[in-house]
Amino acid sequence: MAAERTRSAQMLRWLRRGSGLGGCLALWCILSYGGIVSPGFLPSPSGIVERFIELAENGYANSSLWQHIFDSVYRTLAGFVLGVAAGTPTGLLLGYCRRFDESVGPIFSFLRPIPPIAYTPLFVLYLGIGDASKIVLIFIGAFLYMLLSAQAGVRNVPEVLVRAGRNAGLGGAGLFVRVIVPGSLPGIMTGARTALSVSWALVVAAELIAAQAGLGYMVSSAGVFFDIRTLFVGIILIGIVGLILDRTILMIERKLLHWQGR
Amino acid sequence: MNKLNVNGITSVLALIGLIAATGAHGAASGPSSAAASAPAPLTLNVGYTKGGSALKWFVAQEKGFFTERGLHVNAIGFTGGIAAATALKAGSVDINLTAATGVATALSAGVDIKTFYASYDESAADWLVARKDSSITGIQNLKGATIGTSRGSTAWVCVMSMLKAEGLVGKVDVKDIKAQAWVAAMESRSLDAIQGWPPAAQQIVQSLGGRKIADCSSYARETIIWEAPAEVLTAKKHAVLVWIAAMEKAGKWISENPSEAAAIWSKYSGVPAKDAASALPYIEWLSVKDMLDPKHPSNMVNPDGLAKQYATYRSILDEGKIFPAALPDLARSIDPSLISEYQGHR
Repeated sequence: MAAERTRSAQMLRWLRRGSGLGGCLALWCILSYGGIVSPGFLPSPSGIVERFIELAENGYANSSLWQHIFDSVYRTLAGFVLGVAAGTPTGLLLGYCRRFDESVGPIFSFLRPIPPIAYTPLFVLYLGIGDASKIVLIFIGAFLYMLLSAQAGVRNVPEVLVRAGRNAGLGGAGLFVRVIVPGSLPGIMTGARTALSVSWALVVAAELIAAQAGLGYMVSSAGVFFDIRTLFVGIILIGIVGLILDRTILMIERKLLHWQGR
Repeated sequence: MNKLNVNGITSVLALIGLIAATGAHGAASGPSSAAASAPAPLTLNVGYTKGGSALKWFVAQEKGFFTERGLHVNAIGFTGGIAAATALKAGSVDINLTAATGVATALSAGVDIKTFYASYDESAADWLVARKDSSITGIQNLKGATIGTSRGSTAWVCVMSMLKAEGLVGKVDVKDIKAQAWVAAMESRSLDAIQGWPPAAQQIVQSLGGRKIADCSSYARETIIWEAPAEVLTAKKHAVLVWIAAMEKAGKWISENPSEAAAIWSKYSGVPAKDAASALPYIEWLSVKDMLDPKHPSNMVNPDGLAKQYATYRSILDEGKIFPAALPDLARSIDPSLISEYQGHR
């Protein structure tokens, strides 16, 4: 009985989840197949599937579709991992050590409002047109997000935990490693999730100027030549890959923070 | 450079005045209806690509050649083809400065586009510029080189035509680099050379010490044109004729005042005036007379002019698979009727 109730509740949940997507798809079909919007502005779902198959078979601009996807994912993950690796410890230190925050904090406060994309011409100048300039751009975005999240994570560690640690004889490095870092993890993981989304958005922007492949490159190039169907395929792929990346980090978060019941 | 002869502008204005006076726009005679049909102000929404060499238009705007004819121009700057093509399709832009690729984009977007005016030929100003420390001294050294240019642009068509003509297809790596990254890409040594349009190409030579290797005039002519949807040319014919008169005056003014023209170009494009001045002598500003001269390579009246250029572009763009489907005949967009009418009334 209880199992049946759970199953039907689950089904209802899936139905609710699907209704939004289904509604959008239905509206899209009405607008395109009904001839309300011209295919030049809004291609039909079947037109996009057709174009996807063509791209999967023949590629786009001398690169296979998989190469475009791989290049974007590779740049994103490389920049994101480096950003997390550098931003998390720096943010933890900023949050834990007031003197360190006072001396270097203003630099990051100055850098934070600058959109990383503004650095693009500079990075092309310093690092060339290859992957390095794009990865560094993504690194900057991810680094600044991680920094802020880790710093906030430290400040949100419950005072009671810090006192308990001190009462247990911990101090300095011991307190930092055994209380502050684990206590900051929820904030760090939330930051990582946001940083990954930002990295994915940045790769698309980074590929607009001097890339030879990548989903951002594909979308921008298709846009220039009014290749609307390719544009839609690119946008949908960007959404799907972005969703996969988000779900992946959510899964990691759940594993790491199981003790939080997330 | 072709000398412009536009001393008949006043005749066009007289014609326009005559049209207005005789009520050619449907005004009935009589004092009350004359007051009711006071001519609406002429307006045109004009699209252009930012950073390009729309100098004739910049000059006409800056020197007030439009306003002195009672024409109000709204300028709309674009960074890419889709925005311009969409704006043309949506009716937000009446006329747009572009090249054969832009015509192909508009036709692909389903716009019944017309090429109604040829502004200038920049093939002699579109240069292949090698990095100052590269070993490239001529086209013969290009084998194995990496050249950057914006894919699908006039400069790209030029590179492809050059490689084809010199038997270098597949032996040179042509990278897609947008104009805003040309200087940075050259400085970072990621490229051996850039194929660039004016004034960016001249800027690379002047500021970075780049070496000019070749220009496009021997490979692909690059006539920059004005396009408009067919219905705009009918509905706003009066305004477009006034606009043509102002553009003709601007062309003549540029030839007579090159240094001031370079300063205006610099103001509108952001390129230093000395670089703009160095590009000017290589650009051929076209007049209506050139466009109607069957012997001129950019003429709009026979198959040896603009139509031939469009055929070359179509074939190169199709070979490069720039558009998802094979392009239609671009030459079908060429419509010299308005420039003929303008010339006939001079």
